[in-house]
Amino acid sequence: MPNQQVTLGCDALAFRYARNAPNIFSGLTLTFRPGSVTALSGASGSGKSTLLYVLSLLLKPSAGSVTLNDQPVSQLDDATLSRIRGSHMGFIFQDAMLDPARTVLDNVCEAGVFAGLTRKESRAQAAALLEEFGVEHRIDHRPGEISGGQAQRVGLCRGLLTNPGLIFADEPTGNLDTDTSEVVWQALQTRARRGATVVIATHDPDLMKRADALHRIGGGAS
Amino acid sequence: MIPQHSRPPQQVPLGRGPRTLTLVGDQLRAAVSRPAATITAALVIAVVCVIIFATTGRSAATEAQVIDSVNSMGTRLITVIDNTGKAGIDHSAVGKLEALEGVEWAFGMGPAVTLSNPAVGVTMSVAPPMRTVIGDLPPAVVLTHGRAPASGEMILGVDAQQALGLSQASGTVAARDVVFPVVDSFTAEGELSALTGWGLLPTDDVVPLRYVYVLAEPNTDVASLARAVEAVLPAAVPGGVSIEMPAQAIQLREVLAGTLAGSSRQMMILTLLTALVLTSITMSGAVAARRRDFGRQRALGASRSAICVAVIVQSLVAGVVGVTVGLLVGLPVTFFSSGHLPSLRFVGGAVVLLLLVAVMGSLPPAVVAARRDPVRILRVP
Repeated sequence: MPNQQVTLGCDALAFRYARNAPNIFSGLTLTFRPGSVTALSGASGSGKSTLLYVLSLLLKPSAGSVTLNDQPVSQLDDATLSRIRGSHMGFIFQDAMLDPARTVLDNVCEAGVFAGLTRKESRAQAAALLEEFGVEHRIDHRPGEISGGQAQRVGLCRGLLTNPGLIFADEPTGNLDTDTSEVVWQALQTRARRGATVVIATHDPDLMKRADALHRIGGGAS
Repeated sequence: MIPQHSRPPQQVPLGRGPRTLTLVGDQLRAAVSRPAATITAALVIAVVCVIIFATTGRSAATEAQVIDSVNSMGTRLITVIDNTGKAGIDHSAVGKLEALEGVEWAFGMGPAVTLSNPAVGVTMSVAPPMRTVIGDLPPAVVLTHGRAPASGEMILGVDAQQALGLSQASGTVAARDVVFPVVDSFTAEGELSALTGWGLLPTDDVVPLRYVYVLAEPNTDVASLARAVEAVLPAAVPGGVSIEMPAQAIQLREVLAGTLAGSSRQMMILTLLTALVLTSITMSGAVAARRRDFGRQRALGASRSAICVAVIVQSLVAGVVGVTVGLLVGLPVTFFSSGHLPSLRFVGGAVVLLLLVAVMGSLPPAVVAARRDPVRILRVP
C-alpha cells in the first residue's frame, strides 16, 4: 500500500505557455483513480508531457484546476506544492536523470530528502528497492559506470522510494530494451495494484495497450 | 479493468517536508561530490583571503605598531601644576584622582627642597632638588636594586646621585638640616625621565602638592579625563592650578589612526567587493552546470528555498575551504613580509567577512536557479 491513496483529477483544465500563446490543451476533465495505470498518448507536440507536468503540479494551469481527492490544489503556493510533490508523488523520467557526480545510492536517496525521510530511513528503503530491481551490486557506482538499462532501474527506484500514492512517468520506456521495459511496466503495474495512481505519458503502443485507461491528448479520449 | 474504490475522498495531508539537517547534509555531500566547481570557488576565496592578509592585514599590523608607539605614556600623561605654590592642592587629591575611571596611576609631589651631601660638607655648584612623594611610585620609576623606600626614606635619581658625589645609593643626604637615609637609586622613562635629577622622599605626612601626575589608560579620551581631573581636584585656590596635557601628540595619534585605518578600510572594501563579484561569477558557473540537478530536485519535491539552500551550502563549503587555505598561506606571508601578525580581532573579522562574501556572492545565482522553470530542464528533446 502507498503512504496515501490519492485520486487525481482535473477539471476544465487548460494550459498555455504565454498569455498570448495558443492553448496546448483546454477543457480537460479527467479522473485518475487509485489502483489504475493510465496512459496519456498523442502525437509529438500534442501536450501529453505538458499535461503530465501540470498534473504533477510543476506547471500552473492557465484555466481550470488539478484536484487531489477532490480538493483543488493547483493554485497553492510553491512551498506547499513542493511538499505535496515530495510526499505523495514519484517521478520516472525518460532518461533516468541521474546525478552523474553521486553514487547510485545517493541518487535513489535524493527523493527521501524532500519527503522528510531521515538519511537512515532513505538508505534502508533504497537498499531494498535496488535489490528488488537487481542493481544492488551497483550501489556505490556512479551513473557513468552503469548501463542505460541499469540507470533506468535506478531512476525507477528513486521514483518509488517514498512509496508514493501518485506515480508519474514521462516516456519511461522510451530508450529501453525489451527486458528493461518489461521491468519498468511490471513495477508500475505492481504499485498500481497495491493502490497507487499511475499516470504515464507514452508513445509506446505496448504500454498503451496494457494500461487500464488511455487518454489521447489532442485527439479525443478512449 | 480498473479496480473500484468506494472509499470516500479524503484530504491529502501535506507531508512532513524536508528536514533541515538532512537537506543541508545532502547538499554538503552534493557539494563535495563536485570538487571542480567547489574548489574553483574555494580558490577565489583563498586568493582573496591571501590578498587581504598581504595588504590590509599587513597595514593593520603596521598601523597597530605605529599607534602603540604614538600611544605611549607621552600622549596620556596629564600634569597638574600649582604655578604659584599657593593654590593649596590637598594631598587627598592623589586618592581621588586614582579612583577616576580611565586612570592608570596617579601620584603627587610636594615643593622642591635643595639637597646636600653631609659627607662632602660643601655646597655643590648645581645642587639637586628633592621632593616629597604622595601615593605609589609609578612603574616608569625603576629602582636600581629594587629596594622600595618606606616613609621618610630617600631614593635618588641616578643623575642626582652623581651630582651629590655618591658612588653608591646609600648613606645619607640632608635637606634644610634634616638628614635622610638613602636606600636606593632609580631611573625613569619617558615623560618622567626628568625625575632622575631629583631625590624622592615618600611620606605619610600631610603636605600641600605642587605637582600631580595622572596617566590615562590606553584608548581613554585624555581631554575628557583632564576635565574630570579639574572637576574633582581639591584645591584651596583652584584658579592657581594649571592642567597640562600633550595636545599635539594626542592630535597626531588621532590623525595617524584615522588616516591609516581609513586607507586600510578602503583597500579591504575594494578587495571584498572584487571577491563578491568573482564569487558570484564562479557560483553562476556552478549553478549552470547543475541545472539538470535542480530541475530534477524540483520535480522530486524541492521548493525554491531548498534550491537556494543547495547553492548557498555549496558556496559556504567553498568559503570554509578557501578561508582555511587563505589563512594557512596569508598569515605566514604577512608575518614574513612585515615582521608582525595582524591582531586576532582583525583575523576574526576578516574570516567572518569572507564567509559573508561567500554567502552573499551565491545569492544571485541561487535565486536564478530557484526561479528557473524545471519543466524546460526536464523535457528531453
